Amino acid sequence: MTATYDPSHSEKIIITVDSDLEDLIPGFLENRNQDIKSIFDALTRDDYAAIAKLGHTMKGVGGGYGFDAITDIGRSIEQAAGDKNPQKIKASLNELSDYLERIEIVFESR
Amino acid sequence: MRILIAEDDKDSQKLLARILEKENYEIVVADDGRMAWETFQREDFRLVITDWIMPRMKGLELCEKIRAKEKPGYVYIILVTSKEEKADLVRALDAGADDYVTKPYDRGELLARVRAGQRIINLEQTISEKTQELLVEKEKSERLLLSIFPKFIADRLKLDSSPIADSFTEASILFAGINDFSSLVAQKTPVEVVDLLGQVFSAFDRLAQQFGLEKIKTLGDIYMAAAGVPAQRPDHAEAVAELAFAMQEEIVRFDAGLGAPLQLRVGIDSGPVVAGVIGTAKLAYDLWGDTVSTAAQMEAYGLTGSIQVTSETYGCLQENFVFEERGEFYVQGKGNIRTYLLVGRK
Repeated sequence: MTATYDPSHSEKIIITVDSDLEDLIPGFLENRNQDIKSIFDALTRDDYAAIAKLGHTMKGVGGGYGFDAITDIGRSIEQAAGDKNPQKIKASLNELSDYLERIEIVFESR
Repeated sequence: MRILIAEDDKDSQKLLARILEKENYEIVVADDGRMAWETFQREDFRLVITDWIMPRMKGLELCEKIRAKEKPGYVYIILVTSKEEKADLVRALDAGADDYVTKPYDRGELLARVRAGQRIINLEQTISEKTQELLVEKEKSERLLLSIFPKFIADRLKLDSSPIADSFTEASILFAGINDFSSLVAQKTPVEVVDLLGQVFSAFDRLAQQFGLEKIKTLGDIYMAAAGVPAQRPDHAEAVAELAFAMQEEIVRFDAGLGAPLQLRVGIDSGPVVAGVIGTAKLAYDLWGDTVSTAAQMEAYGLTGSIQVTSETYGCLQENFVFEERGEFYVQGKGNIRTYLLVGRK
């Protein structure tokens, strides 16, 4: 359902999503943008527990909507929060931001 | 089928609901464990999908609470977990979860697991219905058994089907026969006769129960009852006497359409008997011994509308009851014995 995400490339990423979820996708993506802001905020407070939770949620929900890369990034954030590694967290957030910028969604009936 | 989803993440809630609603499941979403528990208690759910980590109440506690709650019907619980949380998964299964799905959700796997749960729920429902049917049938059998045997005997037969033969040193046996029954049979149709006997014996059954006697059997127009078996009682003769009076009062209420009320001959003897269940087919609780055959002869050769008793029964009752001597009476196997007519209470 999801094209492989390679952060070293800059072209559009085509994501095929089940048309049943079409109305949910804008909200889902908006929440991921909101996650980026929330995690940056949490970083300023060194609130790694909050970051780990957000990463965990992201990990759990991404692939279900067809965005496997979001699951992978969420996992990285959760692990980095566990390691209290702000550089790795920021790198993952940049990766997520880049990914959200480049995706192009194609809805397809199952 | 209604499914309760316990999930705090909105995107996961929406995704789960969308997948399941497309398959026509009715979904109720709770934002955390406690809300799920409150909803579960209020409403009827047979399938619960719960996240593991939730605010206010975790999935583990929710599983435990659902399992501890006594509600009819099995509740199938699917736990949502991450692949990394295997140890948690074991704890959740031990806490009562039936299955699990891992996040991120795979639609096919999720629906397959829900269908598996539904099969279990349906099986449980079938088992529950069949168990209920069995209980109803068992109750019917129990009632039937108790209509044939005294409870004490029925309980023994359920444990051990070998023959029962118990000796009782003190019991009183009553035989009651409808006077001139052969004339009644000649003047009525068989259905009318059976209907009348049914009414008379049903009335006698109620009286026997009222006085705590054991109805033994009926044979044609003869009704046989006993006191002191299978439960021994010191007032066995008094109990039988009271039943005899009550039967005499009851029988005259029946109008057989012969122009005169029905009348009874009642015979009573007191003494030792053997009681039990023998044979392997058409089992019945029955009594044997001289006391039984003597009581039968007291009835057979008794007077219409009277209660004829032996000297043994007279001996038991003479302090509190009024008798008239009837004289010597020949009894097969015993020779001449003195008999009395029981006419009232002192």
